[in-house]
Amino acid sequence: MSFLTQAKTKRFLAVHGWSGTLLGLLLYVCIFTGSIVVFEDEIDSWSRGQIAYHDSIGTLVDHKFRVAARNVDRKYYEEVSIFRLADGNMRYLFHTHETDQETGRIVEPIVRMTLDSETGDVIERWEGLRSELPSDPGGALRNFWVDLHVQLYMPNPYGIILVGVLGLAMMFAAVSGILIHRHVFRDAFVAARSSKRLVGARDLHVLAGAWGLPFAVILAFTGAFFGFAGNVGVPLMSMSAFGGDQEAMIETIVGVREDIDLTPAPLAALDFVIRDGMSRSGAAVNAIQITNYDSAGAKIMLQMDPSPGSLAPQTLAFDGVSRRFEGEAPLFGQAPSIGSSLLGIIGPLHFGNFAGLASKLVWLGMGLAMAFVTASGMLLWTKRREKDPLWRGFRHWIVVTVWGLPFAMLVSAVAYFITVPVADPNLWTPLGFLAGAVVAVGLGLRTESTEARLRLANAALCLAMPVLRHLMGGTSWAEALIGGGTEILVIDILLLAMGLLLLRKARPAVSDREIAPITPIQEPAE
Amino acid sequence: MARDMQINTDVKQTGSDAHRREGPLFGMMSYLKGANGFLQSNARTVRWVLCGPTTLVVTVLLMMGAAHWLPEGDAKVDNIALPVLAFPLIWVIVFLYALAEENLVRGVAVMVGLIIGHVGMLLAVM
Repeated sequence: MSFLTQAKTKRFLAVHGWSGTLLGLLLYVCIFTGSIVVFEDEIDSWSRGQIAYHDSIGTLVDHKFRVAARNVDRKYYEEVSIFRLADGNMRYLFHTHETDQETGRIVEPIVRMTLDSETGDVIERWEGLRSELPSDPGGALRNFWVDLHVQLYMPNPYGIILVGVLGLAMMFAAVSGILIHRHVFRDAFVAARSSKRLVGARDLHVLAGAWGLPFAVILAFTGAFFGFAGNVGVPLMSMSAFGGDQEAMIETIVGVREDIDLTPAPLAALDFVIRDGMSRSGAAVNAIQITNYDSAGAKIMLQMDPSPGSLAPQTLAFDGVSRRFEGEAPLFGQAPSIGSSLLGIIGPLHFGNFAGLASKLVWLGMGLAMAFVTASGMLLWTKRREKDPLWRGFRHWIVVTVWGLPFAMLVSAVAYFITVPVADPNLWTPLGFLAGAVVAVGLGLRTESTEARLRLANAALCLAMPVLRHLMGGTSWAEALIGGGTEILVIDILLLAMGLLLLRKARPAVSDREIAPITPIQEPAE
Repeated sequence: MARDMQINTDVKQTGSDAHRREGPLFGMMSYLKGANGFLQSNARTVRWVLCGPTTLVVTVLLMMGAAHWLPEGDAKVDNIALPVLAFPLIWVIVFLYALAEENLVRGVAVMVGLIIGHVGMLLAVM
């Protein structure tokens, strides 16, 4: 069923196709990397080669924290964060706020400590400004892939805003896809025709698009929100609602605690507070924040994992001295509200982490389906115009990008594993990606069998990666099995399976197998 | 010959129709016809401007304006949070309207009306 007249349908189809063609390559990069970094925590522990400890900070925190805090200047007690790292060690951040004398800006002096979670020994201590915090070498691969997705590795805020624009384009593509396709719901239940011509490829595009539609709308909406909210939305709203007075806005949103009693007073037993929070929420504690530690005005905030059956995680507030439960702290504002509740579910909906591995797997699968829809849409659009050498050339480079992106990501992983023991992987991982991209472009310069060669290169790297990881000192499969490091095992096996699958699929893919002559298809597509 | 015919036509249109041509309503109608002609003859450019920069401006203004007419809620933040949250949705709706509207004059009028209305409201309250 179509809601549009023929003229409108043509107009919608033109914008659907052109916007997809112009922004499609970037959109593909964004969607593909997004699908992969759904597993960012698992990738992090896999790349570190360590058994992951799954967030929860446990219930025996109090003593080790107090011992560590004794070695920190009181001025840093203003705000303290406690959380567990992927390698199982504990991280304490003590920080305060000061006005920089030269620039007049607010800066955050910080003391960062990493402690062995078993012995409580300080493994690392760093002091300085938050803006100068050294990057964690072990997390270089995860951070690079996440940056690639979040801001296309461009400077902030341009990259994030560009990704927001891509989110808007994806939203329009999804909505207009429903409107221009007359039988979208019927075709969702019809298998693709096995034709080797354009019609078969179009069937696959429609099939994947129809099933992925709700997911595409959710991801595009939440992605566009993340792209615009911080850099555009909030500043504009502060201008509109508060006449540009950002302090007044912050006061409304997070509140200002006046007359804080800074008289020294011992903090309530953290372990009791943690148990109290867990019994109230039914979930484990993800992180702890303490404001004005060791004073009568102290507050303890527990950031919980999502409770069973709940999308958004809770934050529970306690008095820092008496341990009295003060209620659930809303994400936005100082009291529960519709706006805060809706904002709270944006993150879980975008990251797909609300139901553990099951939801992450669905998000990965649907994300890859959307990447396929984007790529196949561009290939269809250019196939219809391939009599023009310009379009034919563009089509070739779409194929290079589709296969070159995973190849460059795999090369960045190779660079990470090789440089972790000897150099700074924060530098070499992006350089590895660049090298991979250059190689992919080089392979694409010869127009014949580009796809087959890139597929073979991807297969070789997928098969080599687990071996390389192990050779560079990563956890062995036996150690992973005994220690419960399922992430390491699963990602290695997935890479091997993907490598074998790519090797086995010797027949040319969609882009190469469509043979001339092409049956012209009347627009609008049915 | 042609000049004579033009004169004759002018003469025929005097009399009872004269007051219509000189009234303010006729002036406005004539202006709108001219505007319609301009929009139709530049339909593609107008559509681009409507769907591109105009849609963005209207979306931003609708978001900013909503802070003043949406209920604040008990926490006094709903009027800030909901418009920021709805920004992508507002953009898509305005964009779809700008693209789907067959009558360009009406499309331009709606968009310009939204801009003027919201700019006026924001200037009054800010």
